[in-house]
Amino acid sequence: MINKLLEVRNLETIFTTEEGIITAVDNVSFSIHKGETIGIVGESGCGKSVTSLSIMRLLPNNGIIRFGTIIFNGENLLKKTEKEMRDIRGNEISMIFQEPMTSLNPVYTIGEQVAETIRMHQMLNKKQVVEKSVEALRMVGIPLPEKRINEYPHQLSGGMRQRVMIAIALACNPKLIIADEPTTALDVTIQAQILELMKGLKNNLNTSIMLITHDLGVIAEMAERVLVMYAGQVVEESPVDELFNKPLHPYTEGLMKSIPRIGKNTSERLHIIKGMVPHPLEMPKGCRFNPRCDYTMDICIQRSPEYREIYPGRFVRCWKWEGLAAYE
Amino acid sequence: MAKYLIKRLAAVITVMIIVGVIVFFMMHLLPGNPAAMMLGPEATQEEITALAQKMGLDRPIPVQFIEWFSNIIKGDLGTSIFFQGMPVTQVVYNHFQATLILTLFGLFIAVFFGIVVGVIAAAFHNSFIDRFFMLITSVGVAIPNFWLGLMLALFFSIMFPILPPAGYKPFSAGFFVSIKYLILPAVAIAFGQASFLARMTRANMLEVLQNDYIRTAKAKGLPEYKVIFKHGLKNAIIPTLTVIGLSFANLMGGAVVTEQIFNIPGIGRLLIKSVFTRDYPVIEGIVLYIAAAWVIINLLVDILYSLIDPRIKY
Repeated sequence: MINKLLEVRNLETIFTTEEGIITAVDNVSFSIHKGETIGIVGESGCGKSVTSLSIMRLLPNNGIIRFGTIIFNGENLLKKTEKEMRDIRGNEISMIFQEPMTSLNPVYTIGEQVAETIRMHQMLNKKQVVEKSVEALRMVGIPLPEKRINEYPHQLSGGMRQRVMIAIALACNPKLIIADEPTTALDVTIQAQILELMKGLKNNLNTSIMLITHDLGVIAEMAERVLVMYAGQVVEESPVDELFNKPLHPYTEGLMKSIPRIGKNTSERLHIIKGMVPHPLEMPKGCRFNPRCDYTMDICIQRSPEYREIYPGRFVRCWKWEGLAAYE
Repeated sequence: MAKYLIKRLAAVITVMIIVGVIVFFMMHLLPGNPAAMMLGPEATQEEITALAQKMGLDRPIPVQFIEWFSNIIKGDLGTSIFFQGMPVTQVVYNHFQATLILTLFGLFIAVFFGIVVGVIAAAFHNSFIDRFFMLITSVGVAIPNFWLGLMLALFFSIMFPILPPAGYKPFSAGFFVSIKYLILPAVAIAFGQASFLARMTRANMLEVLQNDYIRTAKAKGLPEYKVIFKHGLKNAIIPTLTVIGLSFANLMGGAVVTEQIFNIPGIGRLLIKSVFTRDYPVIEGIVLYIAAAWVIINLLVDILYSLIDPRIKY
């Protein structure tokens, strides 16, 4: 399809550690269309962030992309040289990180940190760079940006710092923004503001967003399509409304049930998914979710389920739905 | 900033007063009569009393202190006993120049190589070059500088005579001539400090490079060298800066010893001579000069510190 901006196919990212090889991302495939917001949900350590760092090719030294293709704008990012990747980072694909408190360099002014990105990717003179930096800061709702460019990160609140991060990400009008838990470290009211801001900017600039979070509320607010990841694999992909109406994978179902809801009988305890996320070196045989699943069958323990399209646009990796695979 | 400077200058003056008090009382509370010690065992009681009177030692200690102190404020540190009544300021100044130049040159070498080696080692963490530098620097912190001085002189002046083995030429003899004489002693005193600073810079750098803002810098598309030097080094250098003041003290201590080996007419040689000849006013003067130099260097470091790290507010 021509309007696919990013297509990740069969991505496998591993880490070499002293205890052995950890497969952090296992056979992950998905795509993002132009102007679309896709949400990736999952617990800590399920491979969400590693997927995003793989796309940016910013994995730590012991991380290796062993398999797969990442097609961005028609070109395979895994075939790019480091120099070519640098031209893409911050320019065509940019990132917003979880911790606004530590993601900005404490010894440079915020103006400089925005300007640096612009200088890196655009041939502009000093005055134009400053103007563009001020413009980027104004766009993300920082009051008096002409004055604020001379302030240091420690003089700003967490929400303001995250706005600066967004300004940095937007400075070169990227085609894709990867937002890795952009609101997790913020107060709830600030969270809403930041999400609102991102939504507005996305609509104005027609940027695609890959939103990584463990917060289903954020997903419901922002995303059009959702990927659910568990233990390094994508277990479900679905348009957002359908996912909330009828989760297919038992893990997704568990996640939905564990959201507290106003109006529900408060004496009833919140659902918990029993057990723990498996250790990456001791993945269970068969379906990776089987030790924690309420519907485990014999086959779940023996063989790993395929990732299949069950309904149009709805994919799931679960034996429970095997019989329903209408597209065979 | 101006307020901070005034505050710091007040602190400098306080430190100097305390140093002065300690120096004065150490000299005067030592067992024995300074006059007797100066004149030696063959002096008669009359001679000692006469000298003590001449030196004002017969007066009460607080009176002596006030007089001594008010003279210091006027810039008068008394007269040397050994150098036939030459003012102490003059004697110390003549020798201090060589030591100060040697120490500052050593400081430059230590800071420059310490930081460069530390950054390279961190940038190539766990590589051959990192291990090689760490080996050299662990040797560097371990070997005593006077031994290194001897070895350097042996190697570069006797086996391969490219540099003078000893001596001192002031800057008035020409900058490069002077530097030629200073290279070996400066390297000798700086090697240990450079090693220490390199190890420290490396450790700080490795820690800083783990930070989220380094990832942000990479995600902006900055090249590796910019990530390391612009975003890494400026943060990693902050703790290194604080120890530069301490390094200066160590270097000066090293200079005092190394001057003996390289025959440099510096404060170290003067100090040793003065101790042997019981030239108390000169010893007092030297201690005050060294303390002043140390306090001033630390003040400069603190100012630099606040310029680099915007989070430091005074």
